[in-house]
Amino acid sequence: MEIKPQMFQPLPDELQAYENTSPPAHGYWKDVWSRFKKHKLAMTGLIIIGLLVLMSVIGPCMSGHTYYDQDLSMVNRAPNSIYWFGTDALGRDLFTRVWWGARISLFIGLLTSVTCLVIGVLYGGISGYLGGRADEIMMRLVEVLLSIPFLLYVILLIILFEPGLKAIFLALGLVCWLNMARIVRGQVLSLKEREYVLAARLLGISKWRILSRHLIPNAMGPIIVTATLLVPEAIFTEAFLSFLGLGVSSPQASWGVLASEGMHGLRNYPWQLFFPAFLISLTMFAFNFVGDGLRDAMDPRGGLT
Amino acid sequence: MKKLVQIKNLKKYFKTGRRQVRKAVNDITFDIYRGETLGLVGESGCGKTTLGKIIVRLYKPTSGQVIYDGIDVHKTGSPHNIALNKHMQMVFQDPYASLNPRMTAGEIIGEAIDIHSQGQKGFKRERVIELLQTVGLHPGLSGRYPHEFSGGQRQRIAIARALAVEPDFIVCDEPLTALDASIQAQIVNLLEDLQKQKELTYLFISHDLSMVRHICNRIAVMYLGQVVELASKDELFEHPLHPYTQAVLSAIPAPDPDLETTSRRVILPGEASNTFKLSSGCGFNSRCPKAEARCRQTAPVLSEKGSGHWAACHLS
Amino acid sequence: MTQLLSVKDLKVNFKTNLGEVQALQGVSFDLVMGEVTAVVGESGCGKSVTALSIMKLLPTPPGCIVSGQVIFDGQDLLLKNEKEMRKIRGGSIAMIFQETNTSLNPTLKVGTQIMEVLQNHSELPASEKKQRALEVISMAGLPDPEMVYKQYPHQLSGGMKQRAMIAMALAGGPRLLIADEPTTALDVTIQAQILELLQELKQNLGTSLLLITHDLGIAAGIASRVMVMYAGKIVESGTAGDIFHDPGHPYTRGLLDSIPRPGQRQKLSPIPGRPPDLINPPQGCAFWPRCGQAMLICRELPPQATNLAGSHQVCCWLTHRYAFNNY
Repeated sequence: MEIKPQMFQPLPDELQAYENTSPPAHGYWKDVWSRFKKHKLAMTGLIIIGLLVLMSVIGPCMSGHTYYDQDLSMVNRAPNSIYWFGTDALGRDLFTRVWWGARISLFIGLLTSVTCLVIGVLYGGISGYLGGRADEIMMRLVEVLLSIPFLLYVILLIILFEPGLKAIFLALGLVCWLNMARIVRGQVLSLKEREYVLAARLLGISKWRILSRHLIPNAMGPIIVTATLLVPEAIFTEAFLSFLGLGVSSPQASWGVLASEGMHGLRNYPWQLFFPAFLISLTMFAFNFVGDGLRDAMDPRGGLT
Repeated sequence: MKKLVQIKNLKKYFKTGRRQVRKAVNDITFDIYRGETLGLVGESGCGKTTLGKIIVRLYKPTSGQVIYDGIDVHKTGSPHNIALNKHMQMVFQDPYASLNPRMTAGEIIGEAIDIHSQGQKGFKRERVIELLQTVGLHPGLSGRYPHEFSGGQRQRIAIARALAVEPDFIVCDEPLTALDASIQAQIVNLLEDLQKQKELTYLFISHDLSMVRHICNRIAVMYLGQVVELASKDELFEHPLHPYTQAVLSAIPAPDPDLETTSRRVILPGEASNTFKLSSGCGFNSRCPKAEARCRQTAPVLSEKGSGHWAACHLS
Repeated sequence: MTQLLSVKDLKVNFKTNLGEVQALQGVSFDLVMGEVTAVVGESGCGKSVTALSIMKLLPTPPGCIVSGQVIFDGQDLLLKNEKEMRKIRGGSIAMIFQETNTSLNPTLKVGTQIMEVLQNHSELPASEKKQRALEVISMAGLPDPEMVYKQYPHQLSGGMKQRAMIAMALAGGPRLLIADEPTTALDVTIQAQILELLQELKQNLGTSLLLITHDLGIAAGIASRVMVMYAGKIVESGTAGDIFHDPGHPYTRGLLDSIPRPGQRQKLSPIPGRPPDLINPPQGCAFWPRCGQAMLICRELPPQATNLAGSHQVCCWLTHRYAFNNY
């Protein structure tokens, strides 16, 4: 560009842009999502979870067999065009049973996670925010509950109720929120000294509102990561209990039950163990990848500003 | 001039160990007059922020009183006290920590409005816009989150939040420290304009003496939990009585190479010891260039040396 | 006047989620032997990045030196490998930082940390190394060197930690000391102590000092040359007298007007707006959106550095002969 004298005229006032263009408006969760999308493993995990949920809904009705129908003439068949995943020792369709099991396993995982989220956030949040004596008592209680071995609970609960979904869910629900409560409490303890919380106190905003509007939303990152990682933990625990015979019982199917049944025919009919075991592992990986991805995406050091 | 805030023998001790206490605020008495800006200066750890937080009731004092317009602010149960939030507000040091990152500017200010009015929705929106304009922000920015603002803009939002309840008295706790020089001047001018418009009283806590000199009417100098000197701005800068004040004033770097000759600086030895052992004598005696035998034996008390000029030193 | 270090057209980018930040956009300057040079500017203007690039301490990624040269002793430091740089860092060029708490290793005694520097950078016989360590401790103005030698960083107060850092920096016998906001975390009275120490060191040892600060007062107090940075560029440089008594760039003038001066009562006149986003820096001069004297050309073309008088350089269109014609 050529430099001409007329270019040295003062700039008209309306062209003086004091507030120069600031970055486009976007909220925190949009940022998290855009960072999450870049995390390839986590996105793969999310897609896998999506497919698993979809199959658990439509899978049991796809093959035309039910999960409990026995066909004693067709026992222990290898995967074929009628029985896509083969059949078990009683001639039940494994394809249907595996997806029926997915329903129960995923249901336990998600329900446990949500229950623990609610109880843990409330308990931990209140304990952390109140502090002092109340906090001390509430946290001692958590420690006492944590010190009782998990299997002991389960066995006690199974004596009270019969083995089955209810007992497993109660056992999981009793234990899993403890960790969540501790994490939330730690977060709240560190957040409540932040200046925006002090400012809210100065304005005379109620304790409940400070907790729900100022503390918990800002502790959400670690809370969601923990909740996500709780899902595979619960699924795995259920599988492990069912495998030991403490869980869901036939003809109901969960992945643990199926794996346990598959164990008997491991030498001759390995697919009976392979399918449930494979799905358990896949779910573990998927949820863990998503958890890791969320952790990275919510970490404020991940690059913003 | 009317006294707005009276601080009487205020003490705040923090337990730091089994037998150790830190005397963050150690028997402080002074008044803040209506409409003035009182500067509170001192080095980090001298207790100035703690004092500010006690005044606005974020901390409870160990003993002593803060009386705001005739009301003892720390006496619980009285119906006057609930309304005190409307009168006293605070602006914090770090504009990156003082705004909730999950709320938009409009929500942050709106929350404060909600608390103090039973107004309708429309009133709230108007008031948010009005407040944003008062602090020099474009109303269109109310939907933005704190991370989308610069430090100076955030500090403006924090000021708007404090103003939302229409207070009479604002404690400004190092509101400029985290900002760049050119932005500091913007905020100082804003605070000055607001004071004129709304007849505010400020307690301006800072370690930057040149800024304090610019904005304040009177200045209190703190050292290790005590006020060692209190005087009007001009009196303090022209005739500092306490050796600590003298040293601090000489150490202010001036943006002028000719004024900046090191020879005029009083370089104090050592540092304020943060081990608050009970020692007799003046807290400053180990660093004081003029210390005498009596300084090690008895602690001086803050007393009026000239009209309105208070100092805590045996030698003045 | 001999040149000690010469930086030529240094460009540095940072990769972030939102795009590439052009942190340095062609920075050139020379440091003269035995002088104190201050770099002043607001946060984010690139002053620390300049120092880190000279030392090759820039975290890469996200940082990336796009182009430029850093000539020290006739050699380009940017072409040196990590092993060669280790010889130079702490040896002929040493650096002290703002955060003493994170810059000293909390698990090692002060003496051990100084001995580490000596092990790498000194040819003294082992027997004399400890003597040298004690010497630098006392040079840094710490009382009772034997005692400090045996102490851990947490046993020292803030000001003493900064002195211990300076002792470490001195151990290698540096010819250039880079100080990045050395007193920002300290109180006024301690700041005065440290500044006096730095000045003594310069006089007694002849060490050149590159002082990075946001505080114009500090720069005025100890620097003989001052460079003002804005948005990744040096907008004005000259002697301290030039900058503080006869500022040429509207930004420098704005900065000086926005800090209160003793004895002056009038209202401060701040610079409006805020520094530009360096992902999309404004076309032309980066300062025009905040400049009260902006002209049409300022929006179009970036100005070039112009010599005013002596070594006083300003990077502004107002110094162009056409601009003089119009006013």
